[in-house]
Amino acid sequence: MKKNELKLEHVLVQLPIAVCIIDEARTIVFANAAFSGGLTLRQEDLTGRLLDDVFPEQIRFLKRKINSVFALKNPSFSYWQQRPHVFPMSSSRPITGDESAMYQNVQFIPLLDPADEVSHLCMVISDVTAEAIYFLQQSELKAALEEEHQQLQKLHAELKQAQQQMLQSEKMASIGQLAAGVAHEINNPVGFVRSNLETMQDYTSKLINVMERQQKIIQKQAEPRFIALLNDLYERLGVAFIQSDLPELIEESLAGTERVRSIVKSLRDFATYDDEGWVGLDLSAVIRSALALLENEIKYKAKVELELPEQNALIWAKAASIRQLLFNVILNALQAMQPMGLLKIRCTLQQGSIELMIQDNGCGMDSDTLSRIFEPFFTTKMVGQGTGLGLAEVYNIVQEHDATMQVESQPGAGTSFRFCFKGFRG
Amino acid sequence: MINLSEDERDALQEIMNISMGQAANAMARLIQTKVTLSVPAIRTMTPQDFQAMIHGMSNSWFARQSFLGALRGEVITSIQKNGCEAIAELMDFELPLDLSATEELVLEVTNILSAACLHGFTSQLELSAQLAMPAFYYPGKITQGADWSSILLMDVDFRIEQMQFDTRVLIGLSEGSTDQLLIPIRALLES
Repeated sequence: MKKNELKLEHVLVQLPIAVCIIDEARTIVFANAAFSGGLTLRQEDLTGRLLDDVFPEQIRFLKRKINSVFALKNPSFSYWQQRPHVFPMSSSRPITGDESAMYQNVQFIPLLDPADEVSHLCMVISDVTAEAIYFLQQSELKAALEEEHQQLQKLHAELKQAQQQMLQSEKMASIGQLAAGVAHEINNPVGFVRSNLETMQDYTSKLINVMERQQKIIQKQAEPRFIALLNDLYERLGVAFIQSDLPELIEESLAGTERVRSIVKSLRDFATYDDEGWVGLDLSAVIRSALALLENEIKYKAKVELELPEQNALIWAKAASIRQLLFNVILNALQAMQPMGLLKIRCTLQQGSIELMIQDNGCGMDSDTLSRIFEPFFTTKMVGQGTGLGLAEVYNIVQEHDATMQVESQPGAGTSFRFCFKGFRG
Repeated sequence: MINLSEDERDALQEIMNISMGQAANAMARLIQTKVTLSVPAIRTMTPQDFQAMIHGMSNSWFARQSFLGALRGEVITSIQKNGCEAIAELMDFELPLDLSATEELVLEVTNILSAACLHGFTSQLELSAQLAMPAFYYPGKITQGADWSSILLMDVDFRIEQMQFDTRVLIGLSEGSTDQLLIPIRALLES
């Protein structure tokens, strides 16, 4: 038995794992080479010394564990995750390792006497520095990957948004081309209808003149019976009314063709992309053109109060983008108003800049909505009624033109957009 | 499915009452405070029942400790989060608790209660079971895809009356282990 005990002690001394055995009074009765040698404290022989004296800083924690083991006859543990360095021990890799302090897992094992009572306690300290460092590095790597993943997700969202905007632009370009084609097709028939109507106006005027003269001659020269018959015929066919109505009908038709011509012109202006080139653009003219195109939308919804400068309001701009900006803001204003609202558009020349204000007296927005209106896909409209891209596009156009924009809104009172473009001297 | 006869259940209940009482005493001895306990409940559970029960205890920290030997299974301990400071003070932890100290406390309480409960239980039946080190347990991540169909679960609640401390110990025995458990119980009943 003694031989066995000796052998066991020999094994314990040789073990590469730190082992320290104490009695109930916390006196060290055994410490192997890995324990004594691993300590950063310079200590003479540990045997016979009180644990409290050797480790005064750690004793509060150690006492708690030791008391629990003696009281409950049950092993206890300490993990590096919660308490990385229980004993002051240096890393087992002082040269090639990154850490100077050893990460430890400690087991507190009760040693029972023949009466089955805890007589001693064995502390086994495992060096888990390599595992701990690996785990910590993995955790850092995971955090870095998560951050990168979030950035990629953000980038993906931005790309998606850019793609949506591109799609929208392409859609607008296609609509523009379609509009230009339709405008061209309409222009020709409207041209000859107008020309024919003008000729008809001339012929009608002449024919009415001839008829009036004929009537006067007949009244003077013809027999009363013939005159009575003719008057009867004229009356039955309403010739007097025809004579007075016909010029008006032709006049109205000509006015109609003029309106068609003006709409077609506006449509062509709007659809002309000029290869998205930058030009000196008269903002007043673009406003008029946009209002002409939107007349049908506006007339049942709002009265327009337009204030434009007498001189040209020239800005260096992409014509199609500015038209798009006006369209988006005006359509939004119209949708916010109940009939009949008031849409105020004012363009003023400032020192070196042009200010444009578009104001409605519609439902307005609360501060939460206001803070999000330029977010792509943010919309307060019903699903399917708005893309949520209109004002995002306006924002991009303003950025592209190096302009500034201010939006003010009050729920129930309306919204005002104020743009400031840099002036252009041609 | 695990089936226990009424006599087997009664015998197991009696053994549980004694062993859990011993666990409460052990805890009380360590913290010098009276610990009360509920009547241990014994039930069989499917993975779904088990998951639902764990998820219902969302305001708790969890730790688990497996045991091997004649009996195999796991002890799962839940400790109500808002009672931690009180027990920490009794156990001479430095207050306030940070996350590491909270984890240490939960693992320590788990280790004490698991060992006491299991020891009382196995020693009465003269069965051996060796407890492994306790580890933190985050239920949502683990209970997916359990490869068992039913377990025998022994459930007991320890409280300290004056404080908010409330901890629940669940001893789960795997299907094979239940047969092992029933051998000495049946022998006891026949004698």
